[in-house]
Amino acid sequence: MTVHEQLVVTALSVSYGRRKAIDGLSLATIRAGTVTALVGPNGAGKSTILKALAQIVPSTGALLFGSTNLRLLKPRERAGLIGFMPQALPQGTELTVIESVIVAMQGAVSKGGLERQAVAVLQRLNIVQLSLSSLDQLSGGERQLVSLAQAIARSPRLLFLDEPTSALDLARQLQVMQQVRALAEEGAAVIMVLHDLSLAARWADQVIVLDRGRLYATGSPQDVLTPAMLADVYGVHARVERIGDQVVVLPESAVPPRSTV
Amino acid sequence: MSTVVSQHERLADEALAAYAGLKRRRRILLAILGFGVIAAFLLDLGTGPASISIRDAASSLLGFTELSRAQGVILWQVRLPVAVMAVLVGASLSLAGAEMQTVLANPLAEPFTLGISYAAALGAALAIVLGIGVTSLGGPWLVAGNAFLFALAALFLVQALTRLTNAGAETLILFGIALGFAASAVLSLVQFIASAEALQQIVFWSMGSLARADWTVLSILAGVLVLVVPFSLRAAWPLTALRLGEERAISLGFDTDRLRLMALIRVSLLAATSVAFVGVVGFVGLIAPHIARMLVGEDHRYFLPASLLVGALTVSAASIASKLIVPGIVIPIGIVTALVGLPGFVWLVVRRHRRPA
Repeated sequence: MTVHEQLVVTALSVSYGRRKAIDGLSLATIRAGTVTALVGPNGAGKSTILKALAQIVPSTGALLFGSTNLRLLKPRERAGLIGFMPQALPQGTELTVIESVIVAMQGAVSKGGLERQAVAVLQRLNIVQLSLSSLDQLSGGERQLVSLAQAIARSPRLLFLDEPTSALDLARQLQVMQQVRALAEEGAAVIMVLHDLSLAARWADQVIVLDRGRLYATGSPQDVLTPAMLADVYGVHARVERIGDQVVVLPESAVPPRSTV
Repeated sequence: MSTVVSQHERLADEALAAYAGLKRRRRILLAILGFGVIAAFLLDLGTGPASISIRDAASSLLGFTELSRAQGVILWQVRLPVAVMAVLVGASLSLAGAEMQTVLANPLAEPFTLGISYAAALGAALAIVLGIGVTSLGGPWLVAGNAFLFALAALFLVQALTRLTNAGAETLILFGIALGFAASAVLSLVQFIASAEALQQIVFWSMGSLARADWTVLSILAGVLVLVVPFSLRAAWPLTALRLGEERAISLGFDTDRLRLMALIRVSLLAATSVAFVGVVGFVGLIAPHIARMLVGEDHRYFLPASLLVGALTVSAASIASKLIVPGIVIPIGIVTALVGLPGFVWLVVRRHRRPA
């Protein structure tokens, strides 16, 4: 297991047309074997950053993982290294669950072991009973688990998850977060976009707070998730409680709009 | 502990066996479709105003029996080309529709709904009336060549418009409809100024008819299909990946822009050659892939061949129907497919909107 590798992101910029969504963002080092939560209000640029890191949207800036320049990888090499879970799977796809995982493994696994390995991934996420269900018949939570299965099918060393728990009930949230921790322990560097700050506090080693495309703060959950940050970035008064060594965020009321002068 | 492990392995084996069963069912369905195409083809040969039975037709084709001279001419020069044409055109249009629906992520995409057929009709009409063409060959080649280029241009125009405006899938269809209207308006204008003789040719052309089949035309259609199908099948995995969404497909290392471009080139070749020689045959490229999808799902290793076979079967059936509806008269095939296809189209739209968001 190589725990020494780290992801270094420097001067990342993303433009949509003439609008700069992200402008020269540098992130703190993200070590393999850890889980990083990317948080911030709607429109802060969280998903855009994740897509830029996965090179799904064009961007500029340095992306280094260990001694590998991610920008110089061929698409197939990149696909073997980076697992990406988008916010949602498209509607109306009449593929079965197992087919969707098999197609996600194409080229990464030798033909013979393909189906067995796809089944192993489904078992890992406890959804093997859905193998032959059509993606279209799944509930929102099941779709999310299948999407995660596709993302981890190639055992990537960099795993980027865009709101992996947004449609999940409590039991499945727990299950997914445990899997994410397990994947990190196996050596992956995980970055996930989360809206639930208490979830971020519970499961992430490091929290990155974004505000309107800029880096606001980076650090451990305890250091970063403070009432001052919540008022400043989210515009809410919130209580931040400690239960044991866990941080729990309880929003209470909106901060009156900042004066624009 | 060991019971947990064996339980785990038992579940894995069950899932694998179930998937193997699914694949087996799909292969059987493909075989059934293949036999269906052969059966419809023979039935098509045996149907028509002149009484030649299926058995006589089949045994004559295989060289077992000699037909009378008149019957021989009817079989070899009328029925056989038409029946082969039905199979080739159905296969081409349906495969084109299937690939289009996948790469445009739109279940309503097909050469007809994207205005490509009308653009081809316009190209053909211009060649008929004005003798304006891009090929130096004369006659039917001028008409077909022009139809082909107009179809190609329409496809790329709709693509470019959609890309420029950064619009979604629904907009693409709207652009296609607009283009279809524009082409048919200009077509009306051309018809208005055309001579009576040219007008008749244009109207006949745009109805969509298998009667224009001759062996040269058939070899071109077959050639295009033989050229395109291996490339389609080779793209089966990336096309399947595209069904998981653009972002997922890119993250899996597929170049989706290139994939889309190559697929649209294949689609243009298939659709434009079919339309150029047969005229406007609507809805086959729309409905047949949907039937295929319902039968074998969207793993494109099965979906593409199934679409091709269902398309061939559909147009063969339409060809048979076109000879039976009014005894003694062969109705142009485009009319038959439109009459049958339109309710199918409405059904697809309704079904789509009923789906929970």
